[in-house]
Amino acid sequence: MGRGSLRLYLAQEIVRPDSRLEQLYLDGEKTDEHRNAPPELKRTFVVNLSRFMLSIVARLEEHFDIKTRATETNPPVISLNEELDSLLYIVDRFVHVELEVEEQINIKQHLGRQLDSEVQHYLTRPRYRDHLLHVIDVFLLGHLLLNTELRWLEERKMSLIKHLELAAAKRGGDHQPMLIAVLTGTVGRASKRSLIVRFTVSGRVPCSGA
Amino acid sequence: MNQAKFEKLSRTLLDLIYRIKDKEHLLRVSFGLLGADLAVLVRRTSAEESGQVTIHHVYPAEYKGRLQDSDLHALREWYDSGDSLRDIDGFAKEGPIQIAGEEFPDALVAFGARISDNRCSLHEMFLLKKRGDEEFYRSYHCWAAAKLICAFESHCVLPKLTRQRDTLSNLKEEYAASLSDEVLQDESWNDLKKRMKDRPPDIQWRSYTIWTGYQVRKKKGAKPAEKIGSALTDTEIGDPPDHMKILSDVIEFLTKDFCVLADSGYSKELYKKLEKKLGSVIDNPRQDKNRMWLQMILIALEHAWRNLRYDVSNRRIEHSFDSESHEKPQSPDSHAGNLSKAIETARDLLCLTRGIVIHVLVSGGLTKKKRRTAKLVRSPKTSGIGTRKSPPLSGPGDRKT
Repeated sequence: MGRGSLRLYLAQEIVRPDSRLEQLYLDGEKTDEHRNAPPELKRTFVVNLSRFMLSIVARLEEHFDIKTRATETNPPVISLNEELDSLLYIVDRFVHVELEVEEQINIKQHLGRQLDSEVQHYLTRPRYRDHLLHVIDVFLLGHLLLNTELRWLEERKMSLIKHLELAAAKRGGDHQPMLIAVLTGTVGRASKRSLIVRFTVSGRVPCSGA
Repeated sequence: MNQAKFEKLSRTLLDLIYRIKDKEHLLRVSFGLLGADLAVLVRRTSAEESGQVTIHHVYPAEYKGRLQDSDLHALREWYDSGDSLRDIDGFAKEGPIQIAGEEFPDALVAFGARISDNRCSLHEMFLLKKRGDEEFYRSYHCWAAAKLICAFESHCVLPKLTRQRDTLSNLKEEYAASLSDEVLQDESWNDLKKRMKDRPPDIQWRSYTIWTGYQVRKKKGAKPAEKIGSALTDTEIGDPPDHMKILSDVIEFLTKDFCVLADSGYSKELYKKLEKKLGSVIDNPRQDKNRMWLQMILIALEHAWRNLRYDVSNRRIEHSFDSESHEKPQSPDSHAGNLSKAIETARDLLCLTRGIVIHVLVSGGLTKKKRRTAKLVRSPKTSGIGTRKSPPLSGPGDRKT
């Protein structure tokens, strides 16, 4: 799964129906939470959401071969700087509101500190992969893994974690660890950088790290 | 084999090389020249995966129906070591091999020319002997067999591949030249239509779509999509009665001057219709009509998101990088009454965009090469949209094939 697909994953995860983000910023009808949000906060969210979604649409246009040529009189759908800025904002809101990470930890500020030295490399070299966007990719990949449900062992549809527990139990050890390496490489070659998730399959809540 | 025998073999081989006509002839010649009892030609079906091969031809014909997939695996497993086969003509096997229910005491594999930029050869030829008590296959037999395969490829395969590649290359160049480079931003609709008159419908449509993209960027609230609608009847894209209703809905949506401020906004009813249409569109984006639809919808979405961004931020922000400034719009009061409509529009647009994104994700993501597992892995939170008909994954202990 490449970077583009992970962005799409974030696009479909962000502001799901009945999610906290929807309740807070988009006047969701399930709770009255949105009444507590100042209008300016909502406006900022909608602006950044629009910018982020424009970057998603641009990816889709490229995928379906209708991306137009950018010129001086025909600027790109969204500038690269704007795309990155909105991405950091969306990740920040997603982490704080949906995953309930404390607001004291300023995610956007922490991520933004890496920006100056790395942004040009990221935006001009498609295969360049270092800290900032890689951290976001790993975060999204981990989120995807922990929320993935599939039909695998015994034809049963359940979460990936449950499948791993079942696989460990079949191998005869209640505490047998299982190591999963998720390669984030492309074009059929493994990346030098990989996400390695180690699940201790013992019936407890698994932990993951990268 | 002594020196005299080897030279005789070489001379015979050189005489034969220029007479190879087809795969049947290749195997028949190899069969006779190298004293085999069974000859199998295997062809690669994937330029990237070394294990993706299929049996291309068998000689004698009596073995054709008897060879199974497991035989192909047995034929290759003893030497297949991935990417270490560069510049090697082939291998002679030590020990017998079981193929088609028979035991062959002696066997060799020879490789054809390597595909450019790839370590894998396009063809592999297997020669198997029942008589193991005679002279065993050695490296020069492999060399001879490899030369025969190369002769076959250079005479029978490569010219065809070159023709295909040239044709494809010409088509791509023509396509690119007629679309990306020649769609002029300042060209009028009538001029564009006149110039595209004799082009294939698919090229016409893409030109019109790209022209639309230029126009919606150039002028906010422009109505170029009306031209797209009329173009349907001008070109031979066809089926206007069935598709025009949906298209007219998209056009109506696209041509709203300010979708945020429009009274009707982006209705749920339209969303449902579009979502239903998307189900058939994205399943096969390469199909002409579906691709045209998708292009149209993406242009509409882009236009709508751009309008939303413009109206909510109240100024052009393409080149702004300081997000903090967006929190202080120039005229907050002028937007106070519109914020709720903007939010409503954002919700509607999200529904449609998420619908496309989820369809793309469950059909293999953004990579050109579809992966089997990509179809299977899916967040439970997306289960409410779309359908999934993929086979289950095998268990962790299963062998990878």
